[in-house]
Amino acid sequence: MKILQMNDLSINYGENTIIEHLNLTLNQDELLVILGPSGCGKSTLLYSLSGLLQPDHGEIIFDDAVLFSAVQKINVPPEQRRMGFVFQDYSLWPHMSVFENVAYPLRVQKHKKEVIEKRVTKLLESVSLLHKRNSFPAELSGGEKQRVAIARAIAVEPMLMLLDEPLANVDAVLKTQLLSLISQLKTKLGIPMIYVTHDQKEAFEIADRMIIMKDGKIVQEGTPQSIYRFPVNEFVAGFVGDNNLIDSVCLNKRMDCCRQKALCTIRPEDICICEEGEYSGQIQKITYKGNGYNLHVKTENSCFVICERSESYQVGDVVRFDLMRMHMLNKK
Amino acid sequence: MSRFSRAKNTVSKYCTKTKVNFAKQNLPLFLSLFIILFFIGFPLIKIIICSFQSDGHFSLEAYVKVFSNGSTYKALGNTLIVSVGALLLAWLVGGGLAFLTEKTDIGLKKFIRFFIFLEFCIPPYIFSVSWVQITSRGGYLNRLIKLFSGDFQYTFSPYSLGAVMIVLALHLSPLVFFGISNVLRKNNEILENAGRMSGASSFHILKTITLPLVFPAFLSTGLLIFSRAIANFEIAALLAMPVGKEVLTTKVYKAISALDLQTLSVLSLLLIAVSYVFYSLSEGWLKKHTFSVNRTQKTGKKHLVALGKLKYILYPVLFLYFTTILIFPLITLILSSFMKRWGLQLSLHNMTFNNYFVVLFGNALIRRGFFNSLFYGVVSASLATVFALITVFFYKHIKSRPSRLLMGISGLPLSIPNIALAICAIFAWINPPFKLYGTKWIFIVTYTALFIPIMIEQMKGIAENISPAFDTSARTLGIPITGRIIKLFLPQLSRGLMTGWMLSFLIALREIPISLLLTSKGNETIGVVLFTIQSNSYGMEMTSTVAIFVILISVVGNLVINKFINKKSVAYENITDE
Repeated sequence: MKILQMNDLSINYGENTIIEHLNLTLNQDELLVILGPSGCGKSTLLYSLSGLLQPDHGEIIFDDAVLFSAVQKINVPPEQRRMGFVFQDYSLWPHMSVFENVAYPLRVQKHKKEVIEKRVTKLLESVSLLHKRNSFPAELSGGEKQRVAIARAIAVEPMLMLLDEPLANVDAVLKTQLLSLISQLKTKLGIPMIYVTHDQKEAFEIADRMIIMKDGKIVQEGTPQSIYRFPVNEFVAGFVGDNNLIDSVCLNKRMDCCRQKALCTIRPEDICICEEGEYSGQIQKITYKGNGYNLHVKTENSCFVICERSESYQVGDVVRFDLMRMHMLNKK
Repeated sequence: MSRFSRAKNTVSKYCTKTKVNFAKQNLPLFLSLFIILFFIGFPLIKIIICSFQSDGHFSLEAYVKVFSNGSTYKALGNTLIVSVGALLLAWLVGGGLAFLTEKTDIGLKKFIRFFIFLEFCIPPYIFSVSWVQITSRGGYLNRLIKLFSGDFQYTFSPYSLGAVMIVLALHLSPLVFFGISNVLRKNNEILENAGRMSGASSFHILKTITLPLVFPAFLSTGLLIFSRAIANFEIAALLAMPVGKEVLTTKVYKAISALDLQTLSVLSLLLIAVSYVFYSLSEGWLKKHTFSVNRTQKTGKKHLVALGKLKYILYPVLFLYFTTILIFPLITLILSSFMKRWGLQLSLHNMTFNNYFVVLFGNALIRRGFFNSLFYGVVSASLATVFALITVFFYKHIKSRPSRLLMGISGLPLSIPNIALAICAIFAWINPPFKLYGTKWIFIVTYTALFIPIMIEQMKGIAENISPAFDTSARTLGIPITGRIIKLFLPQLSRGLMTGWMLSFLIALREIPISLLLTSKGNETIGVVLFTIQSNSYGMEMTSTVAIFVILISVVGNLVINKFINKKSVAYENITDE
């Protein structure tokens, strides 16, 4: 069931177009990840959805209510949209303790003191920060700050959660912990979430559905699996995961059926080294990837990256390999 | 010889050279420390010693004399009353205007900012002169009232402590405005957005987020304003001294004419102590209570409080305010500068260009005043630049006890009222072996001491944002200390350096208490000229003409400073790895 619709949305900063005629939908209970390089307009999209930024064109409909419409001149202010926002830089109020930060939205809603105490305690427990309730933001680590920010965003009992690169400033271990926390909260609260990031690993780990953005436009949308397996163009193929982008004319006779102007994307793990392999080449470089090695192999007319678990290869070795799976792109 | 043994030899050679290198590396530091101790430390020590001496022996006589005299407490009381009053007024006006321009949807913001900028450019002494011109019995206000009500004359005296308080507040309110505006503009947008996303209304955000975050800056600016109000001399000299009212600075000025050096030294130290307490409180408070906010991310739309119909009440109020405090005084100054004689009826027949002719070509004293001020300003600001550059470099890159000491001593003059600094200079440089009194050098030494902390303040902010890696990489490449300071550090600080230089130069042009006490025949500054010509045969019309020139130079100088501050081209200033 669709809960959010953004229709023909455009946003300009002066003469620069940041978002261009964008259409987007969000389903109930869905975690949508917007993935794209810096400056592609993904955060701007989130700000316009929250009401902190007014679009120039289009409409935003949430739960059958028009939040913004350029034609009807409707613009519901952010404080009335009931959306929780987790900012990249935490945006915790430095003059308030952890407890006060989380209690703030509840105080705004004029809840009773006992209710606030109970709810904040529960919220802090859910992010494992009850022991820090009297600390001030300056005394917290990056991960702790972000957990307080998440607790505060949930406190408003939002109908939609917006997360703007929430893990951009935390280390890898904390990132895994926080991602799992966000997933748990999503299941527990049962509300839709939009998660903006430029980190593909984060995106794959958490997304129900993904949108790839470039220059203010949606380039591709779908499940993480479909985006990984079937990128629509060279940009997505290059941006999402390691990929071999090979011109179809460089491939052997098996590819004769291909159109002349086609690019093939072949994931390194989809190449198999075997003695009877159709292609052969010399290993130019070996890079260690933790769970295996990437072998950079030069063939007669192209270069391939092959993912291999075995340690038995050395630079200079000649190997034969086969392509197990590939995806055709339109070269345009 | 193997590669290993060659390396070993190099290391041992390096070790023997270490001591020589250390001295070489720190030569600029110790040289600066010596000179700054001489310029700032020596006068301070001299005045302290003098306060404890009587006929060449240790004595507390001067302290007993000063603190058993009722007039000291009266002057101290007056100082505090005037400063508190001025502070409250400046807070109300400056803070209110800052809030209006930064946080509301009021229109004509550019005009409001420009008028406050103009207000800032007018030297305090000239403010006082125009106050007298407007409110005195023969002043323009009385003439205006007469125009409408025949023979009616009000009996309001322009000279009182209340007048000092008002003029001081008007002079200081731009500083409050700039301080608060800066904080309001920089810090709160993201945090206010977080408040909005929590469902809070604009008023609630203002009450719970904006104001609590601005409060430390508000209080710190207040303490700074308070210490400035205590240190002010020229406004009190013009508006309180004629009716026998005393504040600490004017009491010090009077004591110098009585030639009672011990009393003078104790009074100066009392003034320094009171001013220092409030200055340090302001610095300490700001350090402890300022909330730093990360501003790397987008902040969304800037949310402004909608004033609605209140705007139509505020516009006339603002118009009236700026007309009274700025436009009217400026018009009176301009009109007076064209009058043949102050007090004559306003008519074309009574007007002349002669005053301008006299200022530019006819009067040697005025010409000399301008020339001397320019000369002292250029030389002292340039000397201060060199010392400040060395101080900031060593403080940033070579953190050692001497570099911290250098920074500490260099900052002292910022908390010393100008008149007290001048007294210190007199004590230090009146007798051999360093007899500078009566020469141009006493101005240059004192102004340099005054400008060093101003330059440091301008450079420190930029220096903090420069990555230490710049200097570390230069050291690994074997670049000597002078090269690192001149070729690497200096270009990165150029903006702060030019701003500081211009600011110092303008102070030399506007400043009165130091020049008034240190002046001697042939060495007068434009401040001295302004202060003295009003009472002699030239009168108010010539004072106004000179004032117009000073305001013009001040406006142009401040515009240049603003240009430096707003310049965004130096990209590496933002680079930091901390």
